[in-house]
Amino acid sequence: MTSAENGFPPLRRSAEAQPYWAGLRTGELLYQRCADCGPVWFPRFACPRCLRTDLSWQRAAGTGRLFSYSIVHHAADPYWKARVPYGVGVAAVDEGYHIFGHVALSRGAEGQVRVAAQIGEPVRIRIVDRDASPRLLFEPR
Amino acid sequence: MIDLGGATAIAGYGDAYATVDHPRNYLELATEALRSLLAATGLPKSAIGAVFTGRTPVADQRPQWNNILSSYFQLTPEYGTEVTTHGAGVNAALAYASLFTATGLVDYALVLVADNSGTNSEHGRWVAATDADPEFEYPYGPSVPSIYAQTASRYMHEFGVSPETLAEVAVQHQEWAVGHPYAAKGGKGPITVDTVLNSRLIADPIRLWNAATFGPYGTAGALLVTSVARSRDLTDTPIIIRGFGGLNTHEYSTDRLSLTSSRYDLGPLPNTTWSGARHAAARAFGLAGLAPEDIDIVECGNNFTHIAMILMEDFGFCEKGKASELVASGRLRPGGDLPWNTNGGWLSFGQPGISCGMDPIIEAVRQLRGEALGIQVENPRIALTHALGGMLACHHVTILSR
Repeated sequence: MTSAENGFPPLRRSAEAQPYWAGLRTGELLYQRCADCGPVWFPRFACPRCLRTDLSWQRAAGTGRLFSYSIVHHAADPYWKARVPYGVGVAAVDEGYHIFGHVALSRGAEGQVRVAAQIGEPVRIRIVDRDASPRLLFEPR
Repeated sequence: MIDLGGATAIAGYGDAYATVDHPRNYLELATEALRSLLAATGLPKSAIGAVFTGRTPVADQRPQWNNILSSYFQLTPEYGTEVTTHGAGVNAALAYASLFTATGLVDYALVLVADNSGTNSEHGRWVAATDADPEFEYPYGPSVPSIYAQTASRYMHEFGVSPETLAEVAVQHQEWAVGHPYAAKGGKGPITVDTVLNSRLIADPIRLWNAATFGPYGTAGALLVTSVARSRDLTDTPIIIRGFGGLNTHEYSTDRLSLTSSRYDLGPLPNTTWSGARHAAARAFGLAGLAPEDIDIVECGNNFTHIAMILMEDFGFCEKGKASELVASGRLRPGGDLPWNTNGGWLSFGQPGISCGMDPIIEAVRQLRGEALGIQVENPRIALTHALGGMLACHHVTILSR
């Protein structure tokens, strides 16, 4: 793990995921595909279903649907404690896999914090903080 | 293959507890649990041929924990290991102990677990850092409750489960906890659905009262496993290990969603609302020659109210998506015919660290022997025990009977 700037928690960069991180820096959401089994996520040296090693890197369109979510109101880490509430969730990517990221929030009629897209609704997967520590944000589409 | 269903027994147990008012070190607790076990059975510690522990305590964190504990008490086992599929490993240790003693490889196996996470203020940060994928989840700042909330939001969405029903689960756990002298939340007294719904959000849709609490300050449990025949030389009330089963489906929660096929019954994949507890329980029932309707008490690892409901379904007490009706039936509360977590469970008794996997077993053994510290169920004969580990990832079930 390497420490990032501004108190952001240490980041891991694994060897088999280098194309993914390189893709995010150029604004592309990349994922691996097994010719027999379909999408592979997380990045691997081999397809976890059949163990084929000749996986290809594909570009996802950056669209999907919100699969699940939570809004964090209590965080233990000082970096995140200063940022509550924030949304974390899973998007079902249109290309056929599930990915973890931040979920955009909005205010309801009575001022309560809620996720901007509800479960099952279409989201756009936006790449934020591209240069320093790129992350994914799921927004209503 | 040796028929393991009912071949071995828990010939004796010891337990120990710490409270906020009387904090005690985890090794002090382990000492009391072991001494109490040996005193009750009259067995010399030199007879112990195998030692199984859970993973290293939150309060300590040294690896090789099984060997550290063995050395501390000058046990010199032929076999020893940490059994660690997270918290589920503690329940799985009974399977290891059964295998080693049923085969006659050793005569007596000890399962010994102690922890007191209360001494470790870094606990919250530590668990979040180890339970999220370090590269693809942790950078988003998920807390452990927010990872479990992914399943909560899905469960409510898929099966139309209401916040009121989830709150009722907490209410019923608290009814049991108020009767137990060491339950962490017991002193808070009975609660209502409104208590839960008005408690603060920690990881929407999970509120404070929907979640397990840390504590009690510390617990320890020691179990002596041997053949049924040998157990009768040590006690008049052996607790028979009737059957067991386990399943470990993933480590990080996103990885569970990449599981698109399985030889096991995990529901329509991919999903996060059907757990490995389905297979673990089915396997245990099969080995025991028993069915869900034979169970008198359940002592299981539900760390959130929605997890309790998922386990009710996955153990086979109702169909998938139908736990709301079981919760409303009143069968799970004191006086019901399916007592559920009679010490208050992880929700109200609390999670004192890795010994949270031991606490349900101790509670089951005490209930079956008629020695409950809290509310004694009337004459229970068969208990289902379970522990969960990781992010709804690891499950182990052991069925016990008098």
